[in-house]
Amino acid sequence: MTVRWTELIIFTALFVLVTVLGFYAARWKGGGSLDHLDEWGLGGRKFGSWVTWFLIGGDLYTAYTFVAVPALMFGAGAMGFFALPYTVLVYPLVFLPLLRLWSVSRVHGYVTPADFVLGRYGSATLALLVAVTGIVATMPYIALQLAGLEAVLRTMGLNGAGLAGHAPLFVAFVILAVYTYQSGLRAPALIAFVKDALIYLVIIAAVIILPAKLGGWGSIFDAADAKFTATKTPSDGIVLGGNNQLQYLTLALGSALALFLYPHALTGALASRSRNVIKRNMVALPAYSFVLGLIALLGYAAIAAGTKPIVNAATGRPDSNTVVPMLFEGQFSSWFAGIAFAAIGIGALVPAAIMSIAAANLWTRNIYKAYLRRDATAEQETQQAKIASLVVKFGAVALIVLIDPQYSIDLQLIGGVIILQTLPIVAVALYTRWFHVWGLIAGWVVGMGWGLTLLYGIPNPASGKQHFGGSALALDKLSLLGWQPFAGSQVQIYVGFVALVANLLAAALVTIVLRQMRVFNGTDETQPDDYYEDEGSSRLRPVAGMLS
Amino acid sequence: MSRWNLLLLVPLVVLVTPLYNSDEPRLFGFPFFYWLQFLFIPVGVLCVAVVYWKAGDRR
Repeated sequence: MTVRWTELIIFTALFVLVTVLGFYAARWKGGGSLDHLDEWGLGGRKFGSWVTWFLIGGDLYTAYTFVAVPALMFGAGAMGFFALPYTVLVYPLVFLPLLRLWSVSRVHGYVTPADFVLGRYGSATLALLVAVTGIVATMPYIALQLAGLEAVLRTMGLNGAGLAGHAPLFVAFVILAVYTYQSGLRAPALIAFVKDALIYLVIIAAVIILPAKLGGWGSIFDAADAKFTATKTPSDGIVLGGNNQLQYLTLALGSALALFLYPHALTGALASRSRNVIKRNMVALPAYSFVLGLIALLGYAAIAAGTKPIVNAATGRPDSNTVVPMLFEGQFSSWFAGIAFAAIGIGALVPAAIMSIAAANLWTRNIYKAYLRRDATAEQETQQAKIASLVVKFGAVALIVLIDPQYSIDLQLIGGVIILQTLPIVAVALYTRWFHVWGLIAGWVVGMGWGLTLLYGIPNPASGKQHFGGSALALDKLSLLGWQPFAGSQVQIYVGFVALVANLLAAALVTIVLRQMRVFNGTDETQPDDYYEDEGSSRLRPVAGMLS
Repeated sequence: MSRWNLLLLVPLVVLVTPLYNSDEPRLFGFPFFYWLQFLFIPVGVLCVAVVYWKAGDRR
């Protein structure tokens, strides 16, 4: 293997810069003691519009955007573009629920979605389900970030075989783990500025220079069209076919509904100072969507440029994640490619940090404090969260070895199947307590059980593995205890959507029965007015870290 | 609940794939499939912005 030294040196220099920033961040905008979860886990709950924009943007636009989506476009065509309608839909859909969640969380001091569920239903079981689901769903999403980071490292020549081949990834990840441990949410918030500056620089250069070099967007699309026409697979192409339109729209809708159920996306929203900060961000965040759409199209630019993905020495197969890095390598000078690699690498680290912090908050608040040690002090809580953030990261490393889907994007989509099962418990509960506690639990069991069963049965044609190969299900394979309602149909659908529908149906059925029987439905500690309180209201719970 | 909030449902139109699932007409080299979906970004922003100004906080 040949190491690309110029790229590696620039990448390392920028990586060292953000590491220094990460440690310095502990003191940035310091309020009270970092020994309190409001400080370590939510940055003091006082981020304004700009910081929130960078922070949520850093959450949402990740290795998913820069590596996984273009890889899917490169391999499967128009299907991969579902990421654009997904980010179009997400803000209008979550605008009002997110405001309600922010207010009720500030009135009652909630840090996690599971805290809210506990307050709303008074059921520790339900809160535990939400916490466990959040932690588990976050791990494959972090694993996707790792896949992105590793793609860049392998492109730079650090493409070793076996376990030793993963060594550079481990080093980068341990450094990330240590400064997250030290600085909490402030580290990714501060680094997000560097990340976005780098990414905008790289992308603006790429979308101007690449089409000029490759004969304009028209010929880029023509080259992609020619490639997909030549393949035998009927489902690829630069427009959708008959069998994947349902999948396209269920993926877009399912992803949009899932996004703000992820604990890390909520962390970004709850760390903001006021309702207005969230409102402004729901209007301003789609600026990222343009960038996302253009980056997705880099997958086609790679086709037009004749880019070949690197053969991953660990798996022995071409690694489609390396398509965008190899495109930069082939079309730009070494030093600019180095900056682009750093942008992608740091773009994977920021969300990985935020995700692990959010999962750690869940562990500490809703499992450790609720079950293991009820009288934990604020210091002990924060200590637990710090350790949990390490455990979650290493769980993600393990997943990358265990689950090997055809496209890395399926790591995120599998996470989506899991997190979507909390939609009735968290999002619906923001509006109504119609669903019964036990109905919600039954729905969760049905949705999760069926969703995971369906995922287990999806093979990966590229690696020949039989399980967890993707997230698209042919309706033909949709079986309910042996009954196949759509036998013979090759139309595909997103598993998460199927599982969510089953979840809602089961929850509604059980609710109707239990309501007839007048079974006790838990106590609600929230008042209708709690969902509208804003900054400055005397009913908001003071931020604990600021008192010490 | 303000009626303006219903504007938030408008972007859901982007889910109707047969509306735009074609190559032609192209715009600046972009097939219809792509540029129409890009166009939905400002549509979404506009809907959210109007709700922000008109209704956002009414109970």
